[in-house]
Amino acid sequence: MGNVAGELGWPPLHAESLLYRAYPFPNTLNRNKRKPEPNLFYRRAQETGLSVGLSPEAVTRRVPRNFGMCRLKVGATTDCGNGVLGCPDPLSIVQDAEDHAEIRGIPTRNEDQERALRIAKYLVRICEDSPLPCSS
Amino acid sequence: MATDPVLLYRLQPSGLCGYPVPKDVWPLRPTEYLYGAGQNTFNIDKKLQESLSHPVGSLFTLSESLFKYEMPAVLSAGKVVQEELEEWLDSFQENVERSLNSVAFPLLVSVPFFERPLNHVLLAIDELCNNGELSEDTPTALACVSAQKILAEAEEIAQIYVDPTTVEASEGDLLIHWDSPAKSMVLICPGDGSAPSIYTEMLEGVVATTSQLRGSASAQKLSEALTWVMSPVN
Repeated sequence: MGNVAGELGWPPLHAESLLYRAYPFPNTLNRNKRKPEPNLFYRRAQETGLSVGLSPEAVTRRVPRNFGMCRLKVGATTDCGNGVLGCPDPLSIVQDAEDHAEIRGIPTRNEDQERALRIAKYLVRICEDSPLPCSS
Repeated sequence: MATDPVLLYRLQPSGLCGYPVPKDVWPLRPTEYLYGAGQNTFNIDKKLQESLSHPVGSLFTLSESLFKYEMPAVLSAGKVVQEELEEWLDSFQENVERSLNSVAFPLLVSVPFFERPLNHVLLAIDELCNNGELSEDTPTALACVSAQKILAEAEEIAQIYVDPTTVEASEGDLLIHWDSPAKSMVLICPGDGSAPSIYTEMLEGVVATTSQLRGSASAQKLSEALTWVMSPVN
């Protein structure tokens, strides 16, 4: 079982689960709107999906030099007939570690500019800025 | 005892809109058409209330009954954060009263404006292009020049009234977003110097009901798209 413990080893996340994505740069967050800029959700060619932590602490562990984070609710696939995250574009969330998952199904802007922008702008609309966890 | 009239501005807690616009033109947001209150408040004429048919971005004449003058105004969908407005109001006039009551709706605001609205956009582009920090996202010189050129040309066709929501860089490209509650558009200036493209979408709540990407964008197309994104939905 060890070698399949990635995508196959974790059950689907609960609809109420929250995903956290770090702001890697100070300008990733629009401080006036308390929303990330869309480029937080553009997938790069070397990525298989958008990296998300399953808790604020997990994000801080994996991205210690972050400038905050936002959170997204997984949502049920039946919400409004849309897919995970309530997104009309089909996305999936693949947990690959105890504290980490990836949002899959997002093309790079080179692959499909229109869909990549549509998804990124949607994710900006639904995400919420999340407070940083208190340092221990 | 005579008292000077007090100008009462009511600000919507979520923020205000309406810059940049040309000098001497007052920017209003759609909801500001709808409500006028208090004797010491700028009264919005019936005439203004009837002018709801003005599309966002178009110039019209605002009649002000209390002080009996008329001035050009523009209906804008852009947003300015409340703090910025408050700072400006503080510096503008000491006897400004402000209501942050979330129930009272805003009626009229005067907001910062710029001699040339496009300068604000160009400044944001310049900051991204010349901030001295090189990363894989830093826009290329080609992307920057391309954005500045098409924006300047578009403004020759029709003045750009509304600030972008976001000016961002991604993998050498420059992306400029304009968002209104029901529509959204993005000007994409590729880092390789190829022709810009324009992404547009119609929204229903947070979901895009339709979207479109048009390549080889011209200044004319950009100007049309900007007019489209700020026009009210029928």
